[in-house]
Order: sequence, then structure tokens, then C-alpha cells
Amino acid sequence: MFERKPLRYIKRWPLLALLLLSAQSVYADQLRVSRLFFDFVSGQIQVSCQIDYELDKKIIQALENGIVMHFQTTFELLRKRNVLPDKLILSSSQNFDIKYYALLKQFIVREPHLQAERSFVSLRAALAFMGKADRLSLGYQSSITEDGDYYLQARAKLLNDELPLPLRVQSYFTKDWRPVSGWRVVEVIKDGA
Amino acid sequence: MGRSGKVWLAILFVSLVAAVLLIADATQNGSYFGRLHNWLLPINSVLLLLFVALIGYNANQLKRQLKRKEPGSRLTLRLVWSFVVIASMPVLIVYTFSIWLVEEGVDSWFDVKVEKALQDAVSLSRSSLDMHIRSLSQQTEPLSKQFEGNDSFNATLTINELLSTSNADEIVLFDSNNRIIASGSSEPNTDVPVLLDESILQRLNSGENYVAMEPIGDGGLHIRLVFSMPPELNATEFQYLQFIYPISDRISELTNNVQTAFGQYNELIYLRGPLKQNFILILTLVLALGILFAVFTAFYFSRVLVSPVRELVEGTKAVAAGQYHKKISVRQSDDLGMLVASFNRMTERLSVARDTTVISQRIIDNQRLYLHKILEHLSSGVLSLDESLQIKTANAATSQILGIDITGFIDKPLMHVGTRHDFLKTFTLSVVTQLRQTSEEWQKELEIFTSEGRKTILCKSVKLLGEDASKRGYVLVFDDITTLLQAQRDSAWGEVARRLAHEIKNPLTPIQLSAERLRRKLLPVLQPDQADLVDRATHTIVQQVESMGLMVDDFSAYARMPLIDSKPLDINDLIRNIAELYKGNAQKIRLDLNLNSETLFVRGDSGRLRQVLHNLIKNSMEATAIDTHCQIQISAGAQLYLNKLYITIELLDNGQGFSPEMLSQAFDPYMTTKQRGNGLGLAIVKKIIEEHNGIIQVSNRTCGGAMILIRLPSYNSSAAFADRNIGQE
Repeated sequence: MFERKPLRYIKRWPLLALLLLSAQSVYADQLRVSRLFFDFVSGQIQVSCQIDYELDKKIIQALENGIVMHFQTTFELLRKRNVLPDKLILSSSQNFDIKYYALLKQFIVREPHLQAERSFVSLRAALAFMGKADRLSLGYQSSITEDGDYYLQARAKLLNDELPLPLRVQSYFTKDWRPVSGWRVVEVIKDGA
Repeated sequence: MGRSGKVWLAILFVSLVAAVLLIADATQNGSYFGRLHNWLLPINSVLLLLFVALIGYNANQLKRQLKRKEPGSRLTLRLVWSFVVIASMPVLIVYTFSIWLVEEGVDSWFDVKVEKALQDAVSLSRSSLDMHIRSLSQQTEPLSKQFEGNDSFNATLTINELLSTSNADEIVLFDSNNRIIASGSSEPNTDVPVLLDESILQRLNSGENYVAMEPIGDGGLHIRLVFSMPPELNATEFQYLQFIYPISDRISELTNNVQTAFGQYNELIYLRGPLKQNFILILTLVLALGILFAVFTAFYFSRVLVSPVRELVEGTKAVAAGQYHKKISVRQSDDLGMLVASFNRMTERLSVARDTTVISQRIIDNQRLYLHKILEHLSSGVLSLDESLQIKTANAATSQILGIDITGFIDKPLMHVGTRHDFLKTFTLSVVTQLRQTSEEWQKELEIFTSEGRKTILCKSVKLLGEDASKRGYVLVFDDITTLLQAQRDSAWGEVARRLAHEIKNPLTPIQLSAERLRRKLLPVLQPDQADLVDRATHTIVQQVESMGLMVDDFSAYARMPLIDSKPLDINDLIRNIAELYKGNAQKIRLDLNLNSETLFVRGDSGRLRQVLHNLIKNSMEATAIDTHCQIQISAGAQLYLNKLYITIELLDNGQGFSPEMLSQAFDPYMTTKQRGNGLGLAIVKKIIEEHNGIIQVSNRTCGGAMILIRLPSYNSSAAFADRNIGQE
């Protein structure tokens, strides 16, 4: 009994990890942060990234039926710590709303924080526009000190809380309605290093 | 029901209703609680789990109670089932109806005609807008020729010229790399023109023009026309020319209205399925919560209802176990409360009745004990028999009178006593016969022959009557009246002897004197033969008168009741003195003495005890055959008899012994087997011994001869003497 019990736990953990990884890979199918890089410009940390959208048919169908989809890309700068969880230093996000204008057969992409709107003749063009983040300011470079190790991470996801209620309830039960990319991580190399 | 229980149940019910109402409200898209939907669903799920846990706990408790067969557990199970079924049936019906209503109701929101009308409206709008755009495109496309031979500077001038001559809001010239070569806008301070996106470029590269109406925010629209520059213009650095035309507010508004209506209807149609699923989910959640609440409430109320019943059952068990002081608290004022109050009154009365019974029982027990003590100390034997003549009880005197241990015959038939002891066979047979033949009270004298001799038993019987068979039977009371009869006989004989002595002795002296006078007067004067006759006759008369005188003296001695002169005396010395007297007659008698080494004191009259021993030795000598040497052994010792210390004198001889008839009447006066005896010797001996509070017994020796045992109360009072010398019978 004494020898079998730990083995049982040993066998369980990899299985659970595999399940989690497989679940993660499901999310990664729809959204993926393919590129992430940063630059220090005039004392500011500027991040750029490329997000590949391969949306599920269900989401595309919902979009074409007039459902507005809200996507969010989150950028975080974290400082590594040994024992405690890594400390969040800076955080920023970029939001996009996309909807279909059936009468004009146009996809309209809106950036809420900029109050800007663009229309596209194809979904692909709209998603390509949304997937490109160029030189977004994350914060001041002074947030990064010499004595710490930092890394930058980015993740994109569909804000399922913004979905219409019936779809939101469905999103609780199916992963298809909770597309989220994995965290794309890059080490922060300090300026001048 | 406890106050806290009611409060918790009310809180739970309010929480349930609130949660259901909130989540129902939250299903309305855009409602205030809609934003809380993410939390409400888990909260309801937690509530659901809470109910499941509570029900599981209650069910487990009920299962244990059922297993232990606790009172009220089965009733609780029945009530729970009843409540659950009663509560669930309407809920399930409502649920089924609601599901059907949702399915049908949601579908009914969408009308095919409306949908078709909307689609037609969209198609119509599109056609209209397309016509407008195509017309504008046909007007605009020739304008590109004005850029023939232009460089970038000239192009800007051309754009400005076109802006002034056309209705375009903006004109932009792109190179093949999608860079802006020149641009112009009808309104100053406008933003930098937006670059062509990839899809437009693809379309242009494939040889098509891009012609489209586009939304521009805030409900506005514009028309974008993008043309590839014709190759014959020889303007290689210019690739794409873009015109943007404004749309009137009215057309924009109409277009947006159509789009909004169509978009909302389309959205509704698309969300129809998920909406129904959402409603069904909420309904199912409400159903589950409702049923679980009903089950939990069923458990709660069942327990509340069964609680007094359980207490009543426990109280009944306690009463059955004799705990009449059990009280149940009255918590309710309903019928069950009245029942509990009635139960308490009943137990109170039972308690009083039980206490009365206990007191009565104690009185009866005390009386029985008192009666038992009386019976135990009663000199009369008392036997109780049941109807089948089995011995039920017997007192100690019974054993003493019958000479057996009667306790071994309890619950056995009376006849067994006779079967086991031969000497009681006749007695038991007579009693049994009498009991069976006589239904009334009876009294009878019966005789038994024990080792102590014949006993006369006076038996009396009373029949016990009762309704219960166990109470019916007989009571047999018997007394040993042997001593009483003997005393009566002794008294009678004493009276006879006294009268006889008085009546006979008086004439004896004149007879003797007369006979002697006749002899003295006649002998000298008569003839020799006559004188001889007179001499013999007078001699006979004198001799018989003397003999009669002796007999009268004996009677007189028996009848006389002088007071004894009691003094302490040593029995050993007394026996030795008497033995000395018979040493001179050694040819006829041999006396062997077996005396105790210690002094054996009795309190008595030495003269009269001496007479006793003389009488006994004389009897033994007379009972010995003429040709036989008389051998007498006299022993003296101490003995515990009936818990009292006695000095014993045992006399054994080698004579003829007693005949069986004589054995029981040996001490009766005038009972003798001798030719010359008057039968008063042993009677006088017995009388003297009894005057000394002693006992005398006669029996036959197994080797022949008689044995006489005398017991006199000991005057040796020391315990040490008793320890050294006691031999028990």
C-alpha cells in the first residue's frame, strides 16, 4: 500500500499536464501570437507583435450573422522572482471589435480606445489588420531596473464576457467559444547590455 | 419546529427565490443583472451543490436511522417520499410545459414573411446602392486620363482641379507599392489618407476596379472608387487612383436603418438555438433547485412532524420498560401536542398507580414475610399443596415432626414422601386419600412409627378456593400430639394410682390385722389339721396383703408428685456409687462403666436419679434369662441435641429387649411382660426424668438386648467443655 500510493500520484500528474497542454493547443489553434518584439524609443518601451487569427467556423458564422466579436491583446512586462510569483511591472492591452455590415458586405473593425473604424471587404483583410500591432507604448523604460531580470509576454483572446448572453452561457460549456492564445514570451534585454 | 430552524429555512427559501429571479432577469440581454450573469450561474450552482450536500447528509442520517431501526425513521421515509412526490409532480409538469413553451414560443418569434421581407429590403437596397455606385464609377473612371504625362507635382494640381470640378471629397494617387504620391481633399485639416488594404490591392491587381460604399463611423457612409491607372497613360509611377464620394445623410440613415433591422433580425435568428438552450438551462436549474428545495424541506418537515411521534414511541417504550416517570415536552399546540399532553397525563396516572401497586406489594410482601416467620417458628407443621397434591411450601416444623427433610420434596407430589420413606407410606396414603375424598375441612389423628418410636399426628386440612388454578389447593396443618397424649395418659394413670392406693391401702391393714388375730386366737384352740389349714390360710392372707401393700406403695410412689430437691451433682459419681452397690452380687450381674474423663454436672435430685438407675438395672436383670449372666454397660457423656447441651446416660444390656408392641408403650403404667411386675418401673423412671426436664428413649440393640438413652440438661456451662466433649446426634 505504501509503495503504490505515491506511484498513483506520479502517474496522475503527467496525465493532468497532458490534458492541460492538449486544451491549450486547442486554444492555440484559433489565436496565436506568432511574433513579439520590443524596442526602447525615447525612454519608452514600444512593443510590436503579429497575431494570427484562424477563427473557428462557429465564430465566423456568428460574425456573419451580425454578432459583434471583441478581441483583446494583452501585453505584460514582468520581473522574475525566485519563490514568489513573478511581479507584474507594466501592463497594456489593445482591443478590437469586429462586426459584419451585411448590407454593404463589409467587415468593420473598430478600435474602442481610439474611436477609429475601418471597413474591409473580406474577413481575412480585417483579421490581418487586427493581427498587426505596431509600436505600441507599454510604459517608461525606467520601470526596468538594472538588478532584475524581466520578460515581456503577450496574449490574444476573445472576450467571451462581451458576447450576447446565450452565446456567453454556451462559452461556459464549450472551448470553441473561448479562443485564447498562449502567452508569447520574450526576454527583455536591457538597453545598452 | 425550532425558531432557528424556521429562520434558516426562510433564509434558504429567500436565497433560492432571489437567485432564481436574478438569473431569470440576467437572461434578458442588456439587463442590469446580465452583467452579473457570470457570477449568478456559479452562485446558483453552489446553491445547487449546497442542497445536494444537505439532502445527502439528511439521507445518510435517515439511512442510519433505518438501519438502527430507530423509532419514527420509517415514518420519516414515508413522509419524505410523499412530500417529494407531491412537490415534484406539479413542478415536473410545469417544467415540461415550460420547455415546450420555450421551444414553440421562441420559434414563433420568427416569421417567414418578415424574414423574406427583410431580405428583399436588403436586396433592394443593395441594388439601389449598386446602381448609384456604378453610375458614379462610370462618371469617374474617364477622369483618370487627366493624369496623362503628369509628374507628382502636376498630379497634385490635377487632383485639386478635379476636386473643384467633381463632388469627390478626397482624391489620392498611389504608386505600385501602395505609397501615396499625391492626394487632395475638399475639406482642409483632414487626416492623412488611409492606405489601400491588401484585399483591395488584390482585386486591383487582378484587373478589377474597387467600387464600394463603406461605413465611416458615427453612422456615416462614403463611396470609395479605386482604379488602376490605364497603361496607355504612360504614367508608370502612378498605379492606383482613389476617389471618395460622400453619401447624403438621408441615404446614410436609410441604409443604416435597413442594416440595423436586418442585422438585429439576423442576430435573433442566429441566437435562437442558444437562447432556447439558455432558457432550458435556466428552467432546468430552477427545476433542480425547486426539487432539491422540496426534498430538503421534505426532510426538514418530516423530521419536525415525526419528532413528537418519535418521542411518543420512545416514551411508550420507556413505559413498557416500567419507566412511568417519562415526560415528553409539549412543543406544539396542534393535535400532536394534545397527543403528547395526553401521553404525559397517562404516564402520570400510571406512575401513581404503579407506586400504589408497589406499596401494596410491599405490604403484601411484609405480610407474607411475617406469615413466613410465624410459620417457621410455629411448632405445628404446615404444608401447602396444589390441586394435584404437589407440595408447594412447608415450614421447618414439618421436617421436625415427620423426621425428614421436607425441603427436598418441594414441587413434588406428597406421595413421593411415602415412597421415599417407608415409615411415612401409611401416613401419606391416609392424607392423600382423605384429601381426595373430602372436599370440606377435615381433622384426623394418624400414627407414624419413627426411630424415636410411635408418634401420633393430628392432621387438619383446609381446601383453598380461588378463581385462579394456581391459587387453588390445600393447606395441611399437623401437630405431634404424642407428648400431649402421653401426658394425658400419665395424668390419668396418676389419678388412678392415687385413688387405688387410697382405696386399697386403707382396708389392707385391718385385713392383715384380722388375719393375724385369727391365727393367734385359733391356732392354739384348733385341731392340728384345722390349725394347719388356718395357719396356711392366714399366712396366705397376710402374704397377699403384704404383696398388695407393696403394690399400693408402688402406686402411691407413682402418684405422689413430691417436689424434687435439685442440686448440682456429678453423673459420673452417681453411676460409680450405684455400681459399687452391685459389686457384691457379681455372680448374677456384671456392670461395665464407660464414663467421661471430665465431670458431668447436671442439676437434679440425687435420690430420685439414683432410683432411676436402680429401676433400670433391676429391669435389665429381670429381663435377662435365668441361665444367662447379666451384662450391663453404662456410659456417660455429653451430646448436643436440638442445639442444646445434654448429659447422656446410656444403658445397654444383653436381655431380651422390647417387643415391637412394647417399644411404643414401654413407659405406660401397668405395661409389663414380667409375671410379677406391676408395670410401674419404667413409668416412674420416665416421670422422674421428665421432672428433671430430661428425655428418655428405649430401643433394641441390633446385637440383642435393650438400649436405654437418657438425656439430662447439662450444668456444664463452659464453652471449652462443650468443644471438648460434644458429640452430635
